[in-house]
Amino acid sequence: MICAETRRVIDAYVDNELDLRGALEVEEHIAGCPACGAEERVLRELQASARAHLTRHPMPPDFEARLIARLRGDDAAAPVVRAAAEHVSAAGPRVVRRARRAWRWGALAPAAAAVAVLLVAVPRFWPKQSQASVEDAVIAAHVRSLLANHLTDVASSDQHTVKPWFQGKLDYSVSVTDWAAEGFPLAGGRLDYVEDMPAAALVYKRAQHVINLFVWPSKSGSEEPVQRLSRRGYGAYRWSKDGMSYWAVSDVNDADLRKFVELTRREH
Amino acid sequence: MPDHVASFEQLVLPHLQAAYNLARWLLRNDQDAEDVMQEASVRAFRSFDGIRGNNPRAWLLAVVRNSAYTFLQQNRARELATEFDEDLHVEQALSARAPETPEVLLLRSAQQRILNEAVEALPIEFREVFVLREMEELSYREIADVARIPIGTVMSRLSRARRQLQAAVARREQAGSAS
Repeated sequence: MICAETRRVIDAYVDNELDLRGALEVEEHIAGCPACGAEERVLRELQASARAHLTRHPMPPDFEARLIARLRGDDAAAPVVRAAAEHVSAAGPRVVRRARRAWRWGALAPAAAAVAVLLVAVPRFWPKQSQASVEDAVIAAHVRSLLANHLTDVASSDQHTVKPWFQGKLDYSVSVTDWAAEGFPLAGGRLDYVEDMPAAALVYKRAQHVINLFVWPSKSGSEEPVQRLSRRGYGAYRWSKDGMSYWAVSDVNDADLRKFVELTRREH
Repeated sequence: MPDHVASFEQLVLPHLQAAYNLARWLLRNDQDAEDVMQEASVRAFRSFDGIRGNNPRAWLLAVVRNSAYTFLQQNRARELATEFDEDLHVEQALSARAPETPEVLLLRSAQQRILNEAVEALPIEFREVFVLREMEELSYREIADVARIPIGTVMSRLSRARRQLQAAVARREQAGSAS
């Protein structure tokens, strides 16, 4: 491991966010490199200092008591929201999905509105996502999943374990198939973010390689044929079908990735 | 008392102090933090549907963080739009501050004061990951969920926040020993 690589992950190392192998590599490098060793010490000092010295602002003394009084008096509010969601759901299946989304992400919906405003108001921080930036985001997500200790949130080759795991975390359902018989065993699933939206990442193995299949509701809703892209040594295929966007990303050879895409498309 | 009030009190209220602290660090004054907490707590309660995931603390922090952003968007949008000037930003915020009385300085160590001011001067998106990491000790995954950003962004923002703080603290300590 060289200094540049070490510096890239040294924060994650100090935060215990690297997997065992990554942590050992950093440790080994630091043992022989005074400059990176000094960087580690400085980071740990800052962390210790922050934990010891940052002001923990106390709540106003009666805040909790006032809140409890208000909640107990205001209990009628919750059924009102529930009734509203049920009322909307009478309008049809598409709206039901939206209503349920609003319910499940109830607390986050205002944030989504805020993010929407930010998208307009702060173009520098929230650049408009072109396809190229989606491509970057998806490939970055793939690389990230290999780097940090974060390939899967649910590690299982059983599609009946992986699929329900996503329920409650996403407002759409993701079909999960294990392709072990075809040489692409399912390794698990992970919740990721693409374009600030939660996306399902299904993780498959092909020999020593990893294939990430990202799935999220497509924005346009239109069907899009398979497109092949490659960037930074990774191959990617994208397509849209039945209202969902799919991206398969891997460093396996193109023939294998194409075979995987064909299998998946037949299923979805 | 209905069940969901009881379970809200039991599951969510223990994290109220952490959430208030986050709101206070994001908004940087007591009155706004209290207003946002009022609103966020009620919003949290209304959308509370039994156990939220398996992490009520991260869930409450996300609700409060979002309320704080909405508040800033409506009242102090400039803070969200500030492009971060690596050196100027922290320096200006520090020098704009009124000098504190000797008594206060005696009570709080110089190091403590410098660090707190430097964190306050960070742009909000760096400040939030730093506070969530060092004060709440959330994992990268949890920070990603609270701030709704990819884990890679958590990593890079945290890293930049730390470099900025190191530089700001070093400058302040140097200035302090020179004067």
